[in-house]
Amino acid sequence: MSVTTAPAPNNTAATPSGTYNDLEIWLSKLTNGTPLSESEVQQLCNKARETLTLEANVQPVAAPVTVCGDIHGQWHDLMELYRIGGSAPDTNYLFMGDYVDRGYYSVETVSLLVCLKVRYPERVHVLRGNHESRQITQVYGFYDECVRKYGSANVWKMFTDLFDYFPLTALVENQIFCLHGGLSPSVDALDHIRQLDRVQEVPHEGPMCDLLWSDPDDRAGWGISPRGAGFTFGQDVSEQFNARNGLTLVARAHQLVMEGYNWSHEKNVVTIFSAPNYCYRCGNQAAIMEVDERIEKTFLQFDPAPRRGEPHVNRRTPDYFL
Amino acid sequence: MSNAAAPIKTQDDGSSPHPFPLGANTHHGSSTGPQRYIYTQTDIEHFRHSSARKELLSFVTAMGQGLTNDNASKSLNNHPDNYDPMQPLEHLTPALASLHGSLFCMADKWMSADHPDGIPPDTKAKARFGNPAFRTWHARLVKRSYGIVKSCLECHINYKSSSESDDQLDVLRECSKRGYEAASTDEYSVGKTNENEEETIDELRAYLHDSFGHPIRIDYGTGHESSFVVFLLALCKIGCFVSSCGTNSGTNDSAEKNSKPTPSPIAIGRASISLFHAYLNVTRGLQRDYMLEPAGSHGVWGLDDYHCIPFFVGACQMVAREQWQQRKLKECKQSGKGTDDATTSVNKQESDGDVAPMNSYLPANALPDPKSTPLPSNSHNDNMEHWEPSTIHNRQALEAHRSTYLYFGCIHFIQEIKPNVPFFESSPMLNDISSLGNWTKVSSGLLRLYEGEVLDKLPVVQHFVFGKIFNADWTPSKKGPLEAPKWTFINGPMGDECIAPWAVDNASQGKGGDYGRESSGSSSCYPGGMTPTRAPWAK
Repeated sequence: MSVTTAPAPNNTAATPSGTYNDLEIWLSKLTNGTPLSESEVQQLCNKARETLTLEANVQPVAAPVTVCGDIHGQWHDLMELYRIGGSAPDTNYLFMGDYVDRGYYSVETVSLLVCLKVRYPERVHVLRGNHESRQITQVYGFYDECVRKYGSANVWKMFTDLFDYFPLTALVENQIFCLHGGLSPSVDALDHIRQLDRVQEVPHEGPMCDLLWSDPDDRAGWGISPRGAGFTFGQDVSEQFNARNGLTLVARAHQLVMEGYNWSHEKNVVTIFSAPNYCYRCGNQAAIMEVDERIEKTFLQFDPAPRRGEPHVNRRTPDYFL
Repeated sequence: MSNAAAPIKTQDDGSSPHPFPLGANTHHGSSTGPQRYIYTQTDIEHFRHSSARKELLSFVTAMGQGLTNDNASKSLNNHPDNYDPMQPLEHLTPALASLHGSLFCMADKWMSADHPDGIPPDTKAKARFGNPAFRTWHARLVKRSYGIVKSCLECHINYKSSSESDDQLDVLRECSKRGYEAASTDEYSVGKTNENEEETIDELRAYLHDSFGHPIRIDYGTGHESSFVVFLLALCKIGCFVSSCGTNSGTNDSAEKNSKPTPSPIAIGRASISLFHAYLNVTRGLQRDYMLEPAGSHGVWGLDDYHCIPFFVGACQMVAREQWQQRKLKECKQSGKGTDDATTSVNKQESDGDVAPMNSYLPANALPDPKSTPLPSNSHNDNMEHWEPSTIHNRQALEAHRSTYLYFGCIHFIQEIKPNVPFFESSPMLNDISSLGNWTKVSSGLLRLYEGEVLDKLPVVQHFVFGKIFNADWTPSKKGPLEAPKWTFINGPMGDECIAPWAVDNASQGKGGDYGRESSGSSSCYPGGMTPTRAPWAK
């Protein structure tokens, strides 16, 4: 996939030249898999907050764009994703959340994505997933990882504070509605999302929670979600929502699918999952969805990145063993 | 049962008192079988101070540390292993031998696609994740659990033997065979039962059903593992860990003559190693063949995707081995023998190691004759190898000893199913632990971790069920089932009062472990099925 316009760093208002240099240095570090220092993370998060504050709850995105699902700290596979889909900013990207937790490289992964967002704010979009939350990251690994890698929870706090500013949803060319989880019984029109005050921890209930937690279901109507948050929604709900909002498709992530992508609800909904061999054991393929200027969709599947030399890792005694 | 070689004495039916009397003061709730008692943070506070949790934790502690107390190491005369994979029944009681036979049958027959009785994974299933054939497997468990439990209890009541150890092993082999047969058929022939016994069987079955994963969610985690421990604890409480036929189980001397004998921690520890080897053969098969989702996994940042207890018991097994080595060295010095051959480097691998458990594990009725099977202690050098926690990075050692040492077995399994990823990355916590100086630190840390990450975590223990044997003494804060919205959108034409179900009442988050049953769509057969992340606040 080729992009006609080259990146224009000098036109990017949010990145004055000093910042630009910092960002270039950080980007080269992060694309080599080296985590940023704590103070660099602090600076990055400060800049990112300024950028993300400006974005809408339903962030408009132009085609062409490549839409991606869960990454979950699988940094090597994110590198593979760029090899398959093209590197940013040559390819425009829309990530639909769940950058952290479970995998070993959540810090590196989210640092890189946030860095790209700040460096190329018009070309890279990052939505919030249900794992971009203080409470979830304390259960599913990102907190532990930050403490393990930085010796304190400071970096975890910086990132989870930043997550509050991530947009909830995106709208590609007014046709494809992209979000992490799914629909909400409290939201029948996109305008309802636009009215939400999103800068907060993901609540346990209500529309903001549902958008990040719900799943499509074979049954019609709404169902209790086995996750304990959000709902399940049937094809009737998806059809009605798309019709009412003039949409052709709901693109979402949030669920492992063995082929990396999965159509449901008679192509009213597509699930995209971009972490191959999830948790090193699920044996699934990953996929990304290219949307071109004519809103044609192409799915690219990929397998886990081949692994080469491994870094030396210092061991650290977990608290339970002190 | 047939061809019983041992002189078996069958206890008189009828005249004897009910073998599993349940104290009247432990009675609680209705007679509808074990039920959930943990729904909210309030309930978990009750649980935290309950006798049930105390009993469970004491039992888990005994499973590991029973192996490591002074008496235990003194009594391990023959070999340091506590467990010989060629003699898995050695330290069991008749009831536990029956269970062992049943577990062996489940690993041996229930899954294998090659076996005529096996339940192969459904290759056509449009599974999002987790293979729905596991539901068939679990349905078989529910169907046959009656026979499995009944066989345990019957072996406990009926089998006695002379005190000669050869006869005793024959009895155990016979019991193991009975357990195997009970797990092989839907038509277990039922002997005499009375109402009390039926109730006990129902309760035990409930714990067993929860021990192998959730049939709707197709997942498995430390909660299920704990359920198996509750099952063992319940067997222990009704006396099944004390052999009526031998002395090897070591009853507590202090136990009064007429009350139910209490097993010593050593007996619990030794039985646990054998039973957990057999149990893990089943759960690993399930995890691998049906791709059970790790329930509540922390990804790489947890101890393991599925298990906790075998790491703890396995670390204790290593401590016991060290204690045995120290005693042996002392004896060598005292008897004036040279100790040159008594300490060998772990890298000098000369032995052919243990026998792999899965394939060469013999059916109960084909277990080798103890007289013709030399004890592993004759491979003296092997036994004196010094293993530190960092020995887990020695693949040869893992390969050679995984079927004897639970800890090595667990590490080996991780490396087997995650072959293309460096260990520090797939298992950072286990990697960190491997730098600890000794196994005692490993085992005590793992016990604290079990308390903190399993027993104190609402998302895990909310699924526990309690009955009369494993008894909850508080009133759960449960409410009626909750409903999903009936109209399409809250602000659509149908109404304006839709509230998310868990918001109805903070104290009533009562869907709990039953979720998935109500939401019929929560199957994994379609893209909206199995769900990897559950809300920590969800019940």
